[in-house]
Amino acid sequence: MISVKELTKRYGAITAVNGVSFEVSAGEILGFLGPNGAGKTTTMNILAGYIAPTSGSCAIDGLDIVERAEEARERVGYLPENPPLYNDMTVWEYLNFAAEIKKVDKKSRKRAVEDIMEKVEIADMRGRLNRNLSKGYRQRVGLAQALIADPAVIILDEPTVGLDPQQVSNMRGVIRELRERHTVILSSHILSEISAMCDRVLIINRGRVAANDAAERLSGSLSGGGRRYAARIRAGRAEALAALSPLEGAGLKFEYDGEREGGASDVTIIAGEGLQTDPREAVFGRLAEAGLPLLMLKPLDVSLEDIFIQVTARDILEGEAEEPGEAGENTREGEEAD
Amino acid sequence: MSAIIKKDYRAYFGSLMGYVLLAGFAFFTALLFTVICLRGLNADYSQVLDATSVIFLIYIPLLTMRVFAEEAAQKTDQLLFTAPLRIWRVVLGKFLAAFLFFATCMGVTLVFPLALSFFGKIPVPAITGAFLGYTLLGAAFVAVGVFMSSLSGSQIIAAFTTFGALFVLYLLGAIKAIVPSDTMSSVIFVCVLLAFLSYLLFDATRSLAAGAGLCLAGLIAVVATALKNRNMYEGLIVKFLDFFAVTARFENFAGGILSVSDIVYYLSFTAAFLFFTVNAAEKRRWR
Repeated sequence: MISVKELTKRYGAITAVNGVSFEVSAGEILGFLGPNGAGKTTTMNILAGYIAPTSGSCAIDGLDIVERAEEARERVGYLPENPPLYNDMTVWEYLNFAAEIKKVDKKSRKRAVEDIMEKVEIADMRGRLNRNLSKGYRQRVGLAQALIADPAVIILDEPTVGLDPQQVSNMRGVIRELRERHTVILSSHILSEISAMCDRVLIINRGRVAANDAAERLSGSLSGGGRRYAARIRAGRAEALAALSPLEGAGLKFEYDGEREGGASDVTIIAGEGLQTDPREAVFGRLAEAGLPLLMLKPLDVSLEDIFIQVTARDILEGEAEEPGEAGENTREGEEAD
Repeated sequence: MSAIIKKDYRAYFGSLMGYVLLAGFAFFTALLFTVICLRGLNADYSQVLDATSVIFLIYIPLLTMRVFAEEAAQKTDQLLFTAPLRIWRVVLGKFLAAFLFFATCMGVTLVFPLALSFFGKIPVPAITGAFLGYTLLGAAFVAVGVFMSSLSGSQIIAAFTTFGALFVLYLLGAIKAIVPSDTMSSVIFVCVLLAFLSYLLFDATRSLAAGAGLCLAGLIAVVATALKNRNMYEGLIVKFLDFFAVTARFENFAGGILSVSDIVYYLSFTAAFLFFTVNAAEKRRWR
């Protein structure tokens, strides 16, 4: 549905996006993840046709965004970081205007506006001036504008920024529903949000793609095969480690992790790479034998947070090795790009 | 496009600005009407129109400053430029909305000659001609303002640059009288113009060869023609400025003369600035 090849955008001497390539298939939700100024917004602006790439190409549904701009844009709905609302218009007037410039035909326009207001729950705000809307409602009206012509591709730039927890949850619900009929790209610097909503994650750092894979596979490839578990045992440090020590021969390692609950020790269990069985049963059995109550035992997933830090850190190290003189310039590029 | 015209035209009445502009324009026209026609016992309304053209200098920049600058500042241009609409349609729609508002203001002032007609005989053809003429002049000025508004994200800067541009156009008649008309300065002037065009070409294509090539070819042509026929360059600067001397045609209007060449001139002047605006908007995407 979306195909991006070697996309580059330079603002004068500053390179905001540097040779980004990726594909998104129909019905997929892709998450752009990256620190502020990584080039997420620039990439989205190019896809939506707001700015043109310096080099490289992107196509929506096989239509080049520059060569066949009008047709390509008909297939895209875009919610920029700041919803582009006209403050002097009411919600209803604004959505009618958006429908008209997005070529929703006159007969179905009224219906389309009503439907979309229902869908994002702004029907009771129809007569309100945009300037008087709260941030949450502005975001919803912005989303309504992006969805009104029922485009195949929907691009959402930080759709949940500035919303309260209730609104964030509602917004996520609406986005998840989009998956049925649309291809969605959304960006965020909040990792939990991306992992909650997206099929696939594209980590962008300093204008380049640092990683591109399904969220689960990203965590699998980066944890190095060794699974980790957290255990809380009602015992002192020495006592707990002593009780577990017979298991060390079976490829398990134990690290004391401090005392978080009164009179209990937290221990991190690290399963060696060769170990195929689940070590939790062995741990439970061993502690039962020793008569030490096990208060908690849970697997530690490598979170997107860890992946993100690993990937971007690796990127920075590699970057410094390649181009030692440009480090300073690159930091600046990031800030201005967004 | 009609959606943009409607939206922008309504926007004038959605804020105080539109009412202030309309009231201000009517008030100052009324003032001139009172002084020239009522106190001066004069039935020729075209003289009032001639005087109102000075109001344009302040009124047009305030009218057009918001056209693109406000969209850029509020980032609402992200909606316009990502919609499946050609840029020229956006530009034309916005221009027409501003022009329609201007025409509304002009229309309101029609009440003055109408009032006059009840109390005596007025020169109808002369007034109609003058009225249309000034509306065309207004269209040209609005186009300049729309262009200036597309260059900047700040309404204040857009207003000031529009005022500056209109002021220079206004004074062009006076400036014309003091520019040199000898061959040497004309050739220098053409060279400067050539350098500027070459830079524009270089800027557009990012090819040094194209820019330098145009510059060199132009220079050879200028030197060759200057050596062959010196008279050709005489008074060239004045002729060049004449094209921009929009106000030079005022006298014709004031006399009630509306010639085809004047109409074509104003329409092409307007079209030229709208073309520049389309280019400026297009260029913003590539920056």
